[in-house]
Amino acid sequence: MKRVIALAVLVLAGAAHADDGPGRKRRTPPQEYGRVVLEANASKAKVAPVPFDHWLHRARYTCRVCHVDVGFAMTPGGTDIRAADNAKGQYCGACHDGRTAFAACSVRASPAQPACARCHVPPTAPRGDGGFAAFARDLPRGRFGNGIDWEKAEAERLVKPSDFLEGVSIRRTSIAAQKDFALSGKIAGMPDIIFSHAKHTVWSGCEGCHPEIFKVKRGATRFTMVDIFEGRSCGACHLTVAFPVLDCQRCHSKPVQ
Amino acid sequence: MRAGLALGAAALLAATAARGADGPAASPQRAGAVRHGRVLLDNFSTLVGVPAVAFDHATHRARTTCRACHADVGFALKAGETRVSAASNEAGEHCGACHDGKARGDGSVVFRACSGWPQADPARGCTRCHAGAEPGAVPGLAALERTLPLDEDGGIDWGAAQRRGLVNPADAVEGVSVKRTTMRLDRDVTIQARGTWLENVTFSHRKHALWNGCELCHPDIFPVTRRAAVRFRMADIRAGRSCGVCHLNVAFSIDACHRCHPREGRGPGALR
Amino acid sequence: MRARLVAPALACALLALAVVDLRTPSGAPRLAQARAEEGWTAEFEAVCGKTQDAMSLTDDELRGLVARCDALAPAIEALDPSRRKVYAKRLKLCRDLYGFVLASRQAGGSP
Repeated sequence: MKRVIALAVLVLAGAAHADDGPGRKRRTPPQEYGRVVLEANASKAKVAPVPFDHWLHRARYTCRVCHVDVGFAMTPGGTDIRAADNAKGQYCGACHDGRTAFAACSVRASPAQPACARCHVPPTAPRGDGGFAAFARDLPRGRFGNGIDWEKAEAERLVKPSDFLEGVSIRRTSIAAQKDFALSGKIAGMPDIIFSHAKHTVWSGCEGCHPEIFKVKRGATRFTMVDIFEGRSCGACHLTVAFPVLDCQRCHSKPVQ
Repeated sequence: MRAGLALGAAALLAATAARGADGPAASPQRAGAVRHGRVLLDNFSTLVGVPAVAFDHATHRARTTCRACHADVGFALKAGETRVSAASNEAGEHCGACHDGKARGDGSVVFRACSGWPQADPARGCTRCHAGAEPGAVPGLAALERTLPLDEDGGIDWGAAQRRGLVNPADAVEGVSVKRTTMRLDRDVTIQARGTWLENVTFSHRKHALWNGCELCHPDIFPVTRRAAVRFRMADIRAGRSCGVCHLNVAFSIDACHRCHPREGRGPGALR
Repeated sequence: MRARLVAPALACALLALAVVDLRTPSGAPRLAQARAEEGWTAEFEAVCGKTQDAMSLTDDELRGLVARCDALAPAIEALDPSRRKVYAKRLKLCRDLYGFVLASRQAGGSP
């Protein structure tokens, strides 16, 4: 009995130590949204991690170029990027070769060299916004995320992401037109989702999503918001890089009949 | 074994007591330190030598929904988390999203925040906001308390004020918010009360969504989880989680039990 | 005069061949590998360049493409580590897409 009481006291005391929990922190600032910190191999090599900002890159290239043609994984730590790979023209080195963009990992020397510090930035180092404010100023506003409506920006040719990387991409025909279709939610009263293949293939092509993220024929698997918030299904992109699912009405847009 | 367990329990209790004294879980108004609805903003103020800002929600709630500031502008739901600075205000973020000195569509002008920082001179008006933890009379607050309905605890009953059309808070911030269709979700959720002396809570989405939209609560405060996995515990609420994120210090206080657990009978009819 | 140089020149060349390892790090002879490489990249582009058309290909064409992807795998496995990582993933994405379209059809109809 005494043991039970002591155990109960311990459990309660432990519970009281739980922190305030989620919901109280500020939203990720627009310039930080889409930042992926590449640190798995960096920490093994004892160099500072690389905070990779998506906004800077998606203005220039579609998702497909990097995630299909160049071969980056869709999750941090999934690609296994090494300095040697970059130096040989793979991964970051596919563009960061000193010609298309500044060279990455080109000097096999001490990581303390200034050139390395352009990408390998310690988390505590003060950072400017990298030109985000100037970049975003004239682009159509979006809710949450980067605060940019990327879809509209691309449609209006305000950003012109290239879908082809010389020497890497394969010349492909364009995808045949696909029709939009509706997806119904489980909760009565939530507007239907109008899913547009066209809007997605502009950025991702086919193999960006199929079958890695969406495995089966539509309708065969029910994806719930739980799945999405845990990073599966739409959440593979729409939690941390594409407009976040916080913007409910962006997807739930069709009035319920 | 027993001695070890008892020692461990004693140590944890001591640590908990120490933490409870000044930890963030302590509800401010219970300590009597801060007026209900007031939040002290002091990430940088005292560091740079100006008094802290005592922000009163009331004067802002009358004009703007919770969502517009906390979702669109991006303020955190906890003091000290947003890291408002003169620089961010001058850049048009945070307070500067509205307090930019420019004329609005209706001709009104919202005074500029942190104007001219870092050359600001306290004599020029920083003390309008930077007045310390006890600012005395807050401009506009007394007028609101005179004209708006009050609840039993003497605070403004915002729900009643909105229903009677006495306040019409805007759900958008000019230049920041992006227009979206309004989603109407009128689902009420019944939350079972564990204590037999309490009525169940009928949570009204409509009443909350009016101020918060969806995104303020979901999924950060109320995760989207499998059915019945979310628990509403008074311990969590008093610790500043769950309903306590808002209802400890800004929305009506959880000390008014009957506001959620109706006194007479069950169902929404028993709520005010 | 020239004839007298032939033999020593030949001897040097043979010596050089004996000393210099003409094999690539992966073990395949360099010249042969260069030719094979040329071959596989062309085949890779030919096979995986059709992903955007996958929906309009017949089942047999898709099955043929999957088989050609599988046939490419050994050439990619023989690459240096950096390129192997990249091209193995690209091949997988391409092969799995064709497999996906096939499986979707067999599950019944297109979206």
